[in-house]
Amino acid sequence: MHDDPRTNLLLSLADDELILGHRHSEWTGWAPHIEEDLAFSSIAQDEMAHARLLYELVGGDLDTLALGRKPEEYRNAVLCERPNGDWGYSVARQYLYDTADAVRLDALARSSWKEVADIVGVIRLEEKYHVDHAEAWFRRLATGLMEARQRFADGLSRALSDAVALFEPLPGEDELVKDGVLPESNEDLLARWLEQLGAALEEVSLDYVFEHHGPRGGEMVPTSSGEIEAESDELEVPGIVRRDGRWVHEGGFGGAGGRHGRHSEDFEPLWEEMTKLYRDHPGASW
Amino acid sequence: MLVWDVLGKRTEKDELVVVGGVKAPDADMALLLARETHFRHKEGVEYAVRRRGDDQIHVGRDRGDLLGGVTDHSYRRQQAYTGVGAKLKRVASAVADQGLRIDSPRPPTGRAAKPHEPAAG
Repeated sequence: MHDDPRTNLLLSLADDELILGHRHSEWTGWAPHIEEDLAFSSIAQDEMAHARLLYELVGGDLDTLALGRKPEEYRNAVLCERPNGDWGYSVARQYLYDTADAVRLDALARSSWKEVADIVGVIRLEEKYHVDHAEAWFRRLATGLMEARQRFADGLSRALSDAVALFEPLPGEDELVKDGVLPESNEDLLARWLEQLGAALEEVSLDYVFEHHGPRGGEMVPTSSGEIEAESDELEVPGIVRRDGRWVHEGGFGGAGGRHGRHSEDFEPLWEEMTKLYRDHPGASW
Repeated sequence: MLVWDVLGKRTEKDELVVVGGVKAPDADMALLLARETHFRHKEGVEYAVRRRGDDQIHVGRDRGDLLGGVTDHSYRRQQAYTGVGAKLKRVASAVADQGLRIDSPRPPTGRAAKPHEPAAG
């Protein structure tokens, strides 16, 4: 476990990129058409290149950092480790992640830690491609045929609570903000992202996903008449509410824990596959 | 889906020429997919798309050094067997210092081919 807040920050950023890059790469050969095979693969490899740049700043052997840690030592957000699901979910996740990342990188470009600011300046040049891609798909699915729009909306619903936890406060964050390493707190960044996201979803009448997100399905509960009824499957959003015409975050995070090494049941199978070659042949070179 | 010709300019001195094609529903998506499929390995400095059969060209926003990304993706370039001959010479020279040879004659092909026999010694 790393106690240094700066190392935690770098690992959070780098692990997000590495793990999501791995998930994106799983679409290679399986995307809806060949152009998207290439586009998603390019995005995946960009993410891994960004992870590498950030790991270089952590110091130590890059392969060990990327592939040699135990599952609880990774600091990625849970959103990144979720399985790809269908194309609607994957595009929704890419949209949520890359728009959130753009907000995060915009702040870090002003970091008092010059090396981080310099790396972020390079990363942003490529992340712009990712946002272009995500926004293009957003427009087409959100305004497209009924099935496409529904699948995209379902994807947004499933990904949203995990996405909010991209901004889960980091261990030692107060120190990072005080030193200007993190020019804005994660709570402030989240507020900015929610405002942009809310506006984008309202424009295509998909803002209802803020109210209806989370896993579908309700509980069977007894009523006063003695019958068993299903609860409504419209779940309240854990932490996102509308105040004064804006979507804001209040309270906890649905998909939290990643920044502290607490991952979902989806992480370990991913870790097993991603690190198998490294663990079977430690120290090998190619 | 519509078919779009992808045009590229390798260097600033070149003209835009057809380098491939993509399928896309509209010009914006065609430009995005053209960039991702044809220009991510630094293949050119400018790109455009043209709906097949049309004259109108839609020029991409990204140009020059920024086109194709900025982090090191040299490992993605398909180099096939480039450099294998030189490497063979270096290795042959290195093993020759140990009294070994790896430059046995090429086996016959076609009708002259026989079942493989292990090298003598």
